[in-house]
Amino acid sequence: MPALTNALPRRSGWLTPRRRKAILTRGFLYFLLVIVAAFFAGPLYILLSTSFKTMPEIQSGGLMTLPHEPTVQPWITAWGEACIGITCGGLKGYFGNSMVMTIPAVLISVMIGAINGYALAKWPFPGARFVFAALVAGNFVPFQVVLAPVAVTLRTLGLFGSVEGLILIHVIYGIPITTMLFRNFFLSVPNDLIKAARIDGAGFFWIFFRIVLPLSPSVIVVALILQFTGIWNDFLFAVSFSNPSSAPMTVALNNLVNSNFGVKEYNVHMAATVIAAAPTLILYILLGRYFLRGMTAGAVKG
Amino acid sequence: MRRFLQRHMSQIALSPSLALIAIFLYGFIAYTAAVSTTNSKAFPRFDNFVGLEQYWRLLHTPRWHVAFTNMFLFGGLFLLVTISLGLVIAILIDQRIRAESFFRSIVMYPMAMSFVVTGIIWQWLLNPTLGIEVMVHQLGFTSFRLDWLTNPDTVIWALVVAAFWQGCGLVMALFLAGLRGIDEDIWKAAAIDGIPAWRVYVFIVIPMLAPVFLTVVVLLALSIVRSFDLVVALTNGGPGVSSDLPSVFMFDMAFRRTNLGLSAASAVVMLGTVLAILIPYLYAETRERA
Amino acid sequence: MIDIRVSNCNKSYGSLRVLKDINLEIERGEFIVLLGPSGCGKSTLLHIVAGLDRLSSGEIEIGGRDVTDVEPKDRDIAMVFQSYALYPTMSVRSNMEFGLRMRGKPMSEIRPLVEEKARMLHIDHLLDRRPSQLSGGQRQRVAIGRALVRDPKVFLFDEPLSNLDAKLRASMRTEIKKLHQSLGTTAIYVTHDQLEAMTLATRMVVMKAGEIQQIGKPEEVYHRPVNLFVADFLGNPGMNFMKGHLRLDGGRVSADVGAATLPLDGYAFEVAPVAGQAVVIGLRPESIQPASVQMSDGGAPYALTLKPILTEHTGSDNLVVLAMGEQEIVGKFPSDMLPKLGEPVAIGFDLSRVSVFDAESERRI
Repeated sequence: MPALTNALPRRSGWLTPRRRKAILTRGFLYFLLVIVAAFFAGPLYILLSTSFKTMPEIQSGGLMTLPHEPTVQPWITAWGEACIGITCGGLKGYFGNSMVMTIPAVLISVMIGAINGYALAKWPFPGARFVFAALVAGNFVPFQVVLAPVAVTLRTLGLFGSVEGLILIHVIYGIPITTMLFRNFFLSVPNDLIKAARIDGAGFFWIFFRIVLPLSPSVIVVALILQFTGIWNDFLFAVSFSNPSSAPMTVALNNLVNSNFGVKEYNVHMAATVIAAAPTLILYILLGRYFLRGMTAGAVKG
Repeated sequence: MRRFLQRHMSQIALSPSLALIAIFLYGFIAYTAAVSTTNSKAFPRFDNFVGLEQYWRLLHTPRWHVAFTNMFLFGGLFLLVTISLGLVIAILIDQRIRAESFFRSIVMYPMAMSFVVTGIIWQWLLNPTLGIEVMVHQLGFTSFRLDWLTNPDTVIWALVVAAFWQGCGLVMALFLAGLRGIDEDIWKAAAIDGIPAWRVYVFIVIPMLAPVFLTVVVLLALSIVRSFDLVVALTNGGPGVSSDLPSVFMFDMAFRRTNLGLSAASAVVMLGTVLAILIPYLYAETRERA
Repeated sequence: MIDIRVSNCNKSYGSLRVLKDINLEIERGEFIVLLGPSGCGKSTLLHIVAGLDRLSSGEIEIGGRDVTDVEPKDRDIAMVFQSYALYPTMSVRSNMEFGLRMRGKPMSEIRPLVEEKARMLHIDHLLDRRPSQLSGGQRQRVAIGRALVRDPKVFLFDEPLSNLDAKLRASMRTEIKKLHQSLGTTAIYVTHDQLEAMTLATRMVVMKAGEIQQIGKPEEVYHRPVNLFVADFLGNPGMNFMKGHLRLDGGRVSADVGAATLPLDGYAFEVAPVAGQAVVIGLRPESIQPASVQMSDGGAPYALTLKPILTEHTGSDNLVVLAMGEQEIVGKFPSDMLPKLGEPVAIGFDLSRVSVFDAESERRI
């Protein structure tokens, strides 16, 4: 951790040239950081403040100002009344769709990834490396290349346009990333532990549930966050395989904001956007440390 | 039987996943590749083999040209902006600053959001009648223009700035981790030799971050090929088709224009692009380890 | 009575042969130490006996039963690992109970057993702690306790002391020895530490590159190594090697090593010596002493006058490097005898301890 400037000298002499230079450099550093922070934080601030403004106030300009007469009406409209497509029930139904889709998909895919990772890392067999490579290569594939056959398959199974269909797809295409995450973590669990437990008489699943999993709360949290964020935020699968009644938040939000019909209620759009971003944003605020680990691992994901 | 189960539990536990991936990934890639050699319209049919005609047709579709060129244009600009600014921000944050975690969190929170949200936010900010342009006008700079979203020549910048806003956090975090991994003694040695900090960065530290650069480039490149949600939410490919990307083209052909054959061909080209990025990278990685 | 029999055992990872045709018979109650440099296959052999690794070909018998295809848990063995392998999320008590619980023994029997063994190992006050709250030595005791509780037919030790500091290692070594003497359970112990091997083993097995070099009692292996590798691997400082060739004068055999001709009258050749045969003469430093010191067999030493060129105090003795023609040899002198550098001294060679190896095959002759 280098410092651009030397630490401020401790001597009590007032504003020596060296000290003045240090203060100036330091000041410039913080000036730059504040600009950076404004660039990243500004949009969220504007999003939030606009969502509490009335339409006349928005049209009068003043992007950066706080609302003069704060109103929660845009939030109420976005949640319960806004028209998306031909129905006017707001986002609440779609929020529910997202939850009903995301939670099972996350839990199942994390469980599968954990077992796969454990099997690959701790019970190697001839060809295990090949199996790992075959599974993990899925992380790099642009999912556009499977869209059409997935649509055909879901139709055949009668799951097209259903939340169950989306869960199935998210679980399957979550296998590569969760497997990779867990396998890499489980490599660090000492092999001797597994051996000792085998000699003591424990089997594959016993060792998994009673010895390996209790050692892995952090990677489980990372995997849960990664999958929750990925599935909640997914748009490609959602827009390809859902219908208006099963559409998750991302699709509903896009339909709401980018529809060409009616008057554009920007304050409602902004409130809707915040609602769509809220779950993952809250996760980030609560579990930032794990979040970063998940994102780094998940950056390769399709 | 029990002994067999015990001994092969590992393979047994993996086999469902392996079967699913074999079908849904490799099988489906083959399926799409097969469809790309047919003249399928709304539904995949395999009785109308046309060889590589769809690829030929792709090559002569002006909209595909725009999309494919945009991928490189957008990709190049996005890589350049995100890597250079991501590195600079990482270096700024690495100066033993106060409230470091505050600044870090602010740079990184956008990555928690979906691209749809990012697209909508920037659509709002870049709105010429209500967004940043008006704000700057009200500050007195009335000749200021920020018409990225409505000008086909500059719309790509709207994508770049939104993608940068979302993706910079991860790049910054990777660089920051790289900077923190550098032996502190290097800084002490440079200080004793009297080398100014910027020279140490340019000639010593940044070259040491080469592996991080490689990772970042590959990660960003993969995300560029796949970019879809951002374009749909921010510009929807417009104005006209000026901000089209291959992923949007592919989706449009498959689900709106009912031209599955052409769509499959474009998807295969996308996969090919990813492989072209990935194979040299994996080759370099494995050679490094060997 | 044979307790463990390893027959024609081979193990390969791909094209790499880690174990080559290993044959080993272990009597009930023996303490067998597998010794060798890292990568010699000793740990693999232990893991194969445990059933943790499967062999490529061959057979393993434990207690007269063919266990080649038997899972580790059904082999009636217990193992102590180098990393201790204590279950980190369980208390010491649960760690020790675990193996018996998996075997369905009732808790009413397990409890007193665990407490008894814990008292025996002086860890009874630690039973409710987590492994992470213990020192290295305590963890080692728990690991041994976990094995003891099971009362297995065979104990397997995989370098159990190598993570401990020198002093603790010595005391744990003594304790393992005492345990074995009181329990009399067959044990196989893997180490690369020759001191552990010498002190613990009833018989030791020296391995190199997947092959057994020598099996025998520690003193036998130390004094009568079968080849140059074993001779060189054991002993610190290592055995002196002097190159030369044999002379046969009538019935008398001697070795010409350049600076001297060493009589080998007392040496029991295993192979008939040939005149002119190129040989390596091995003699341990403790067999090279000032001529005034009594020899181990009480006989008169073979004396030579040599020039000391370097001396090292080790505390208990002085190591003296002596010039012998072109070669250098090391002698171990009593600590009160420190020769002056460069001044020739009379040196006695205890030739009853000599080893003679064929220079080409490197085998003892």
